[in-house]
Amino acid sequence: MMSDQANNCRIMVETLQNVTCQILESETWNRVVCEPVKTLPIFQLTQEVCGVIYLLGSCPGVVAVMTSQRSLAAIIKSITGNETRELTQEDLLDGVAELANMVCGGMKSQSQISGITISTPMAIMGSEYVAQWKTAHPTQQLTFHMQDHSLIVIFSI
Amino acid sequence: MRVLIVDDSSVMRKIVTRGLRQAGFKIDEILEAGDGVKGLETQAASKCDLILSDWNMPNMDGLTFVKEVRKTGDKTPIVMVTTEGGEAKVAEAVKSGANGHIKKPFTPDTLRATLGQFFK
Repeated sequence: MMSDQANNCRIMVETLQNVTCQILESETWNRVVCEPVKTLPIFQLTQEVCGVIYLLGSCPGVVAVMTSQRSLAAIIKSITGNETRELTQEDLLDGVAELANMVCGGMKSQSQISGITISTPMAIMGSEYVAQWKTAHPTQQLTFHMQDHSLIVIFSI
Repeated sequence: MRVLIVDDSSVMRKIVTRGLRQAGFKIDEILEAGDGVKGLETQAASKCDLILSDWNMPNMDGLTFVKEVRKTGDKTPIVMVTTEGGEAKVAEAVKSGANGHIKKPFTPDTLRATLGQFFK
């Protein structure tokens, strides 16, 4: 018999895979390939730009969307339809926060877990930091590839 | 037809703009505001025909913005754009004078279905 936590975790993996693929494919017009899920012992931000959202309510936890500055810039340019303009640091922070918002908002709408509330997103950018959360359960990592860019979504509930 | 997009995220304002264009609506001008306060100023000065507003914004949130627009007697349709799709929040927005609600992420089809009625 699967525990509630394990069941919610399975639902989250499936929903985040679907939602993130839908967003990236519909917004960037690229084919997206998702790697098999990986289980990690700690929740740690490992990329240059990260958007973090807390899950509250019936399924408390934390979700992060992260990638390199180069990949994020390509995704934002594609999503906004502005391929030429140079992006500022504010655009990148804004963009990764909105990406996290869209992924978690879509997850909330499409998952069968009721009663989830999502926080406003927090954006982090840089390369000389270690950001790590202590969580009650292992972290699940989903990695998405499109052309020569990738996006990582991690969560722990 | 002039549309006002009120959102603190410049990226989201561009996403909405792109979505409106992809949906094929005939739009003469799209104006942008970064929060409710700027949104009120822009609407007072420019009298747009449709307003799309975020919920969570600094200075003045989306719900307060809707209430403030209605206080002035302005009946311009206002559609909320948000990830928060809770029934209670939608009901609160409608009670405050909003005319509809779009959940992010959205597609051009979603925009057509929700906003089509506001385009003549």
